[in-house]
Amino acid sequence: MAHGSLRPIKILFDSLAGVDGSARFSFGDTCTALASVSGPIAARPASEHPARATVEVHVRPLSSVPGTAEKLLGSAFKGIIESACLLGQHPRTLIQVVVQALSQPSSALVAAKINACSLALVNAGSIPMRGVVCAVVVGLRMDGNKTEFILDPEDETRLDGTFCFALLFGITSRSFQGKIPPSEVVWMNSRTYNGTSISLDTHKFKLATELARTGATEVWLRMRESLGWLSISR
Amino acid sequence: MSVIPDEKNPTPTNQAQSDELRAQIFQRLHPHAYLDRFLTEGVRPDGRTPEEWRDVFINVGSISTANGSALVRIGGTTIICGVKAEVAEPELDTPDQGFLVPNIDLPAICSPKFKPGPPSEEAQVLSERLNAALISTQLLPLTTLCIEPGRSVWCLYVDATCINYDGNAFDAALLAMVAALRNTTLPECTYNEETGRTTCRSRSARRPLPLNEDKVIVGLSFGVVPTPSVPMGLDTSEGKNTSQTTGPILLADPTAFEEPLLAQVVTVVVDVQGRVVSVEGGVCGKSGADHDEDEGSTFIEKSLQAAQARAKILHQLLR
Repeated sequence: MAHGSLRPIKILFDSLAGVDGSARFSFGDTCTALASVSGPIAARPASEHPARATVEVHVRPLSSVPGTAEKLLGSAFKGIIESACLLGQHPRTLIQVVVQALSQPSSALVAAKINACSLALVNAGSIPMRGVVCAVVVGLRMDGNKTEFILDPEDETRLDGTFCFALLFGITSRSFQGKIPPSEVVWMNSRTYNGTSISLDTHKFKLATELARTGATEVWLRMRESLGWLSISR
Repeated sequence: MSVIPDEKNPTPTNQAQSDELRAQIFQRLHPHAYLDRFLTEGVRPDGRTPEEWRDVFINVGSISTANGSALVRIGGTTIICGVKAEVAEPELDTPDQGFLVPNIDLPAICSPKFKPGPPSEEAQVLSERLNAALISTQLLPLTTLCIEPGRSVWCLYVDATCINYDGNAFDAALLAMVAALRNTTLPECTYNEETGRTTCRSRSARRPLPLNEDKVIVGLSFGVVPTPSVPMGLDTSEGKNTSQTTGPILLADPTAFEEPLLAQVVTVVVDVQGRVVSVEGGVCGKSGADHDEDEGSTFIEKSLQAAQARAKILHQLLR
């Protein structure tokens, strides 16, 4: 059984002075991330690629210095950004993305970070993109024998597992029907929490993906509005 | 490749050496095309079918100076893991919990792609993934490492080192860490309130770690290769097997040669009951231009099924 709606989304373009693009994305009040993008800029000779741009993502936690957890997130976001951008247009350059957490760590914060990166890339306007990546979290709770899927759960401590999905809303060469472009999953991370005995099998995965797709579509529509496009009547 | 075949006098051995040299050069210069030629015939360069896994070899207890150890070989990838126990003071807000510190090192000895120096990004990412897998599944409840609450706890350093890298280090390292923890024994320890010292009786029987046997996990990694394409004149399939060769292909247990050629990677962690504990998957490199349906999630679904099947065999090996 699937239910839930997204918490109110807040999008702000900070216009940070030293970078090409920046954006802040929040799920509700307790889950905010800030991302900045500089690029294409000069790359270090050791890291430049002859045929495409190099992407570097630096993740900074709310408190303490960045550790291996931030390196893991950075490497995941690098893959996501590389799938969304047309890197071949700017060979031997660097696209430097810095993501700053502004709230306590949670699965929803990872989704907020991905959304902030997408918005910062669009705000920069200097990197051609295949589409926009929107991320949401789907929570899983077992209620006796019933499985409950909750979109964008607020309290993760009461869940038995979470799925974090990042979907690329892309423009394909074929024209599409309707007003929402097709989307594909470019990244997902799901885990069960301590002590639960659920299996994240194919059936649950399918249901979670579909719920995440509706949530990510809402995120995409809000992103579109925030960029000055009129809201789409559905 | 130091013997240059004499092409003026072709003999059978000269011809074979020359062909082998050409094949090696082709592999180095055009790795995507090289892999595609194999995949259109339904095999991979090491002879496996796309869904086949490499043989796994586990050996425990070989390091006598460590509290526990394991050596795991998956094909060519060899990981050695040792567990060392140290007495430490617990954190203030968790006075009865010990520490479990997993770490993996990918030194220059295991592959030419790793240079000497501080841990590379790949090693750090791998360490964090292993940490997340071990800690989140509660394989070893940290409260069992307590000697005296608020005063003295065990800190277990689980250090894995790769001595030969041939792809899929995550699966091998997780197997090595779990096997090493299974093999770990701790001495009897008492805390003396007056002196504030922890004393371990080295001559007493050592107790094994109280692991949650139903939370033992294994990792299974997959890769997706974009649709193989073979030039027109070289297509030897003559129309047969077209359903198998069209579309991207899911490869189980990628080798070091296949890893840079993958468009998508998926890792599934399964426990001893066959339950999927975590899934992580993402595209790497450029995704395809057009997708009719969502290929990203269909491959994750296929991986889940294949992973649950293979996990049974790995758990048998661990036992």
